[in-house]
Amino acid sequence: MEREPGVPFERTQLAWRRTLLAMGAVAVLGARMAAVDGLPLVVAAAVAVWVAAFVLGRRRIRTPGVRGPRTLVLLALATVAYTGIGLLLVLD
Amino acid sequence: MLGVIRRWFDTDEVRETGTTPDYRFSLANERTFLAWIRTGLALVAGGLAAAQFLPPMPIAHLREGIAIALLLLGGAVAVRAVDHWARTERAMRLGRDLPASRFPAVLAILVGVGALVLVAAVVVQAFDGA
Repeated sequence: MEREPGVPFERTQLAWRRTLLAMGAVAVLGARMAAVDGLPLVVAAAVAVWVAAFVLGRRRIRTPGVRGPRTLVLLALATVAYTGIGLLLVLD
Repeated sequence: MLGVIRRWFDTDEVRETGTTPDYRFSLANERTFLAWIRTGLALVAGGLAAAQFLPPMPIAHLREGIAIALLLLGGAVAVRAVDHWARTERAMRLGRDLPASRFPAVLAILVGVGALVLVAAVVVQAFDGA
């Protein structure tokens, strides 16, 4: 099964989809909290970070192959951005 | 520190080190990274959920403390995931042993101790109420 060249890449594609889905759930939680607190700019930021991660992730997995770390760093920064949004909302 | 961060963004630098490993190994490294990111996102989601959905606690600001701890832990997991990905990629390209890490054990102990403290808080609260 491992000899099939497309399988490792397909697994990586699925891992990206799971990750973007999980980030969507975090975005919804952050956006909800910001909306309840009456902070529309933070709602927009929570959604925008997810849209950006989605677009970058989609671009990375559109064609098979190994790529450099730039998108990975940006994905980690997106996660840290939700930490920042969360801290902002908790401490607000 | 800044040099480490610059190295994360320098896509060519990683590619010029050593020789290109079997692409399956690189993809496996990427999937491990993504699994760590999901772990970090789960912790951040836990922090956001704690802040919104937990009732006010008997101990002042305990809810906010839980939320902040989970949010910071999630961010730390994400940052550490990048570093571990880069070190693994480098080791594979140079044919060295994969980097060992104490981080999973530290994370497990932190989450475990946090859970025990919360169990203790719930038990104390139950006996106080009775």
